[in-house]
Amino acid sequence: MLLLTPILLVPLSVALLCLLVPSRRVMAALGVLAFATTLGLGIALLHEVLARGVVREWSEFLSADALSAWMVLLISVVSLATSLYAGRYFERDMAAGVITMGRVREFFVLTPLFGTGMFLVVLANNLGVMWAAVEGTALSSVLLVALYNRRNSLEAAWKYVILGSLGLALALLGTVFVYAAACKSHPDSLPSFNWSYLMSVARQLDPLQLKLAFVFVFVGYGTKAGFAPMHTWLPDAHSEAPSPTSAMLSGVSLKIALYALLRFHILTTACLDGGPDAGFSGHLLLGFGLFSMLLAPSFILVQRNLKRMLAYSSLEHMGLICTGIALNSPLTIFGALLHMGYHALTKPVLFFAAGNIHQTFHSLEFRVIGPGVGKVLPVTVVLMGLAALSAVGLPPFGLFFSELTIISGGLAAHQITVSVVILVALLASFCGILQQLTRILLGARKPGDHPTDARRSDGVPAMTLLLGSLLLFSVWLPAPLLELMHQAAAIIGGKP
Amino acid sequence: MLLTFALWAYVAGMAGALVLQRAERLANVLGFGLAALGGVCGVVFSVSSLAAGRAVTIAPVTLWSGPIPDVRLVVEADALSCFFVLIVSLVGLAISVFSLGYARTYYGRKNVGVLAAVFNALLLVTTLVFIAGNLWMFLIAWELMALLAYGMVSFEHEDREARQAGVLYFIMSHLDAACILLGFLMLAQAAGDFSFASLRGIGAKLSPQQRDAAFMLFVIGFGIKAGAVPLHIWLPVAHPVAPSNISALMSGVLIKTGIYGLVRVCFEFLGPPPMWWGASLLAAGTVSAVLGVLYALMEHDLKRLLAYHSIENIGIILMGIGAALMFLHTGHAVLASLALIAGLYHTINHAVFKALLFLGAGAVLHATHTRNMEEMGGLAKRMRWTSLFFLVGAVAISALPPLNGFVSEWLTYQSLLQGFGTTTSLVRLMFPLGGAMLALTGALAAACFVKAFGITFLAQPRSDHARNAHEASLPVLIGQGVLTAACVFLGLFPTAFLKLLDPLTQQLTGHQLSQQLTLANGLVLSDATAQGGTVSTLGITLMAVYLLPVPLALWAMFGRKARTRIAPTWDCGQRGLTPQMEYTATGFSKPLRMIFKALFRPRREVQREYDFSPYFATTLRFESHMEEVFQTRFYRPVNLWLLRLSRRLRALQAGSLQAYLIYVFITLVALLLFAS
Amino acid sequence: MSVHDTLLNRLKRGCETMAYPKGPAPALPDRHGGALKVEAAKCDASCSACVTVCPTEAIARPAGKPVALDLGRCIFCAECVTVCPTKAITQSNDHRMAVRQREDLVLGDTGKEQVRLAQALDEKLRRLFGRSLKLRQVSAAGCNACEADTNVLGTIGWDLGRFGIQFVASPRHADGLLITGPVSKNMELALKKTYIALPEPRIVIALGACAIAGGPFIGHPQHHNGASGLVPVDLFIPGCPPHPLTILDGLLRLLDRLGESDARR
Repeated sequence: MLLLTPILLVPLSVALLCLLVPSRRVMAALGVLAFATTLGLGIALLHEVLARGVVREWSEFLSADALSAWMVLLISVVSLATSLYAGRYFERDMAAGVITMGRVREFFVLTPLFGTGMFLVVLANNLGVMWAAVEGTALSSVLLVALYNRRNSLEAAWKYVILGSLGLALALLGTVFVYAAACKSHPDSLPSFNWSYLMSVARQLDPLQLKLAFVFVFVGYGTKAGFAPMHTWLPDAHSEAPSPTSAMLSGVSLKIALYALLRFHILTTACLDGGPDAGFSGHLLLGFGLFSMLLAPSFILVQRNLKRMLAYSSLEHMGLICTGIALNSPLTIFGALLHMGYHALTKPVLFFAAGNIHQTFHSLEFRVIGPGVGKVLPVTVVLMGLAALSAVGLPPFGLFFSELTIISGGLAAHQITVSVVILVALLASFCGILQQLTRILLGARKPGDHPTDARRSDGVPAMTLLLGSLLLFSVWLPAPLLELMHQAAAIIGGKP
Repeated sequence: MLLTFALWAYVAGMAGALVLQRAERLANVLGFGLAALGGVCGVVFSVSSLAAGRAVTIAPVTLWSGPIPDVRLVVEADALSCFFVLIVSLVGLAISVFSLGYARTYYGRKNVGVLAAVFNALLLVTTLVFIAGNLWMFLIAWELMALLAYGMVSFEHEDREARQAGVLYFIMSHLDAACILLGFLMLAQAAGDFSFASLRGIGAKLSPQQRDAAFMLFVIGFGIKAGAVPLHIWLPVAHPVAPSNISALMSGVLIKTGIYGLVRVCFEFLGPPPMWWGASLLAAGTVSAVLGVLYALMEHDLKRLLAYHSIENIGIILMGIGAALMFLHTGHAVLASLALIAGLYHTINHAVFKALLFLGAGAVLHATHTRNMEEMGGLAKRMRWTSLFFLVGAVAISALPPLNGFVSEWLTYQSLLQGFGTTTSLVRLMFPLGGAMLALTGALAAACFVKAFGITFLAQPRSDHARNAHEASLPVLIGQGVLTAACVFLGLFPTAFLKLLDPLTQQLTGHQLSQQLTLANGLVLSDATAQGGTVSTLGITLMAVYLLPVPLALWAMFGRKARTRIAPTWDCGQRGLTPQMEYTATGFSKPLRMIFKALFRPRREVQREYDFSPYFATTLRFESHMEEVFQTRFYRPVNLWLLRLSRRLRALQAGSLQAYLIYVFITLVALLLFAS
Repeated sequence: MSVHDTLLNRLKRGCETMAYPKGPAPALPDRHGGALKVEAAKCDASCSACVTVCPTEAIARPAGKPVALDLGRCIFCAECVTVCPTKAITQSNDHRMAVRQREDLVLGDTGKEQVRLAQALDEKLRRLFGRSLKLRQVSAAGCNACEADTNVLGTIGWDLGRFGIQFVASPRHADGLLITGPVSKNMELALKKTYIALPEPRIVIALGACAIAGGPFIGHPQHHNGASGLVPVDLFIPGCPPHPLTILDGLLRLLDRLGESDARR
């Protein structure tokens, strides 16, 4: 029975439906339904992958191994939460006159399209199709970033599209180089561009060509994944987009780009394994991961805008995930995957809360918001506080465990410097986030500030769902999921 | 099992208080009542375990296994754990009873349910820190402790000072958690396992550089938590702004977790110590003790004064522990046990009397609505019991016989004074120097508490609030009374208490010392050496009691005939004594401020406004500042440098799209060069 | 001068304290006439020259009654001595003037030509204070002449300390109160408080015309006319100011330290 195709078709059809549906409520409900369905399909896929190893459809056009299944689950969860939140969010925006119905329709059409694109990235076997899917997500997300049609949003979208296109162009070059290397080793016929095929012939590919290709792919997809110093579009885009979109961007789309990069990393490692350049791709990941981790806190410390701060925090976490993968031990890769999952559960909550704050205070500047948000939006602040505690890596939330796993893995691999750098970076960003959030969330409203009375918070179901899952999965993971993640880690580690 | 019951009592208290948030009184009674119950169970458990003399009370038990391999929560209790569980339970019990009355001051203002819940949670995680059996349990409990304490420091977060104090506290706590984590991971690396059982003696497997690095990390990490100079800057900022029962818990118990960590790591995990380890701890302890009390003397905020005193006492504890490590190096196990006993005895003593003083300060604060001693006064007549309890605490902390502070400082002196003969290297000079500094500290501490008690309680009230102060409620008094009784007991019956420390020293240094320390059927405390220095606090007290009939008899014989006339205090014939004639806290400490000018760098500003002659001023403004050396010389410059660096880096994200594109190209070119 | 020099100097000069009371009293200076002697019998019937000339109205001559000179109000200007035609008032060159009762200072009647000198304290107080009397001095708004002459008693010539008499700072340490000055309204509270602060048994000494009856300030609205109305006085020493010898005589008489039989005890 087909699993992968419905995963792609359901959000696509919902996107097309939303073009026709008149009511905003129905559109929101359709979005929720779409992603709930994909979540269910994802769980079914999990079981299938555990049973069969790899699920293939359409003669290997679509292929899902453990890593893909894991990503499908992440995308579904985050998109589901976003859809849950988006309904009330846009209702308030429309009531405030900030946005028109047409734009709202745009959102509810583009978001499932965005989701479809992301699903295609993880399910496509063909590297070219994967690239096209990444391009698709880029296009849909650019339009989402520019949704509000404000000057800042347009500028952010402009930077996003230019840098994203540059990145994708480089990635295309890299992808083509890989194909060229494959062609070179098979002069007889055109080889398949499927990743599974390339993996099987990895040892025969020319190492130098592959290294070159990987460099291009790394810079290309790295731009999309938000590695420093190619991350410069990230703060603008993630802060100017509407909060539901920011949640999806920070929550999953960065990880999708990383996924694409990882496919190449696995390929390159398999090709260079045993040779003089073994670990080349790992070194690149390590270096840029650490660089991102060190750069992010310095921006967080002097940040003035709430969503930009959250965007830099995403930068930090992506750096940590990269570092975990680069350390290349089963434990650290497993920790990195866990980190991906927990982060995907945490970051959207923070963005949803930021959205609530934005809509209530009409600004994201710390100075304008002022202290005492807790008095105005008590429930939001409690949930945001919990999510912030999770994001800075405090127990009992899962990010604590995953961070510690990666750090201890660094020590186990005799890379004590790496562990020290990670600790320093985490500490610095902790200081920054704590300081900034304390400034606004705690305290009492100053006399001249407005508003001052307590209000009902929106989006509580979405936030509670995510936080509840986070807490649950911090202490217990169902066995099938654990098995899936171990398999995914094995795939990344190069031992499928 | 009693300990399990205690832990579940805390959990129940936490849950109950949170659920009943709206019903303040119920939340108060339930939350703090269950905490008190847990405390009682904890005390009984720990005392019975120590008295039984077993080395291991609870064998390693896995509570939970997480999804990540090797991530488990293991608890294990040995003699050291039991001792610290005793501290947290006893102090927690007293503070819980106190809080039953104290929380009433928050009715209608703040969420009492949250206060009770977090209090229970704090007791729970602190106990878990002490009974942690592996790295994960320890770290999780440690971080949760920091988080909950941060929450409590920021309890009155409407006040900007409290918010900033909370942030500083949390940042320092996170820093110390990072140091401890790194140190533990280095040890776990060599052991291949995260459990404490496999970490015992692991230091032998590490290279000397690694051991030294690990030691430094642990000292910095646990030192921050304990509040040793120069890592102490958060302590006088955070402890005053928290609610007083939390301040008592923080000063009494939470900073002792640092001591617990140090003892556990240095004596069990790291193996035989080189000389410089103990010497550095001794030096750090001495500096902390002297600087702590000096800064305490200059304070006129009652709770800040007490917070600085905590730094001083931590210094004394570190001196004992440092001396013990030095004796371990030179091979004098008996002396090492003595020094360790001195340090640990002072730990529990400090927990008890510091908590008592903070509880008293809390009662005073509630009555006078200020922390500033310059606005108090005259409370001895209005708050009789509180002033009595505070007086006992002050006498105890000034190390005056026959109370407990005297006993532990006497033991510390004895161990230091005998250190001179243990080695021939130059390091032995540190011992008498340490002893001299300890004597200086003791004198300064006594002066400081004369000031604290005198200005706060004696003479006349300096403000309307002080004038209208009334005695605290019964639970508040009972809570203080429990700790006072503990002070007296620990002071008068040290020999009985020392028996409880036997399994501890047996485990850590291989010696049981209480037999040698006890003479004359338990009446006299000896220092277990050939010179045979002895002291008997019980004897002193009994002598005072026996001699009491003499003046009584004299009075009965001769004094009754004398007529007694009650007349006002001689005031040089003035219209009457007013509070303006009293000593101020600032004035009292001025001589010492002048003597230690080089440290304090006081700055004094007097501004005078007058109409026609400077001798008839209309307004007079007086400002006195002291430089906080560590903040201005180290922490603030580092902080500013970090922020400056961050601002410079911000230039990278200038907004120019061309620049961003160039970054990408540069990266690409660099990587291509790297790849070829 | 260094300590060494001081010691040598002292050794050279030896003991410079006067022999009194074991020896004769030093002579009063010429201008000081000593106590006044009033022989009312010598007065003319209608003469009241001394009454009008007295600056402090110390002399009264009610109709039909003999002249009465209140030594307590007298400032010893001796104008009355100069102006008296019949030499009824004369200067006796006697330094002894201290009395126990206020009435004993009023001279004139037969049998009362001269002051009835102070009796010693009773047995119990003599045992307490005889060899150690600590006095607290209160200067109640006077001109300081009495204080100056009291101060002189502390010098090595007079050496009050050899009798165990000493001035102390705190009334709590004192046995007696020495009051000088007319006690202004501003000093009333201080004086009363000092008296209350003295532990019992205690004595009060009023020194000088101001302290006894107000002196030149008598009748002033800002003054209380001396200490008698405010505290119970045990010893009155008249004078303006009294000669140090008078003061010393009064104190020693009080303590029965004079050691000589005196006809007018």
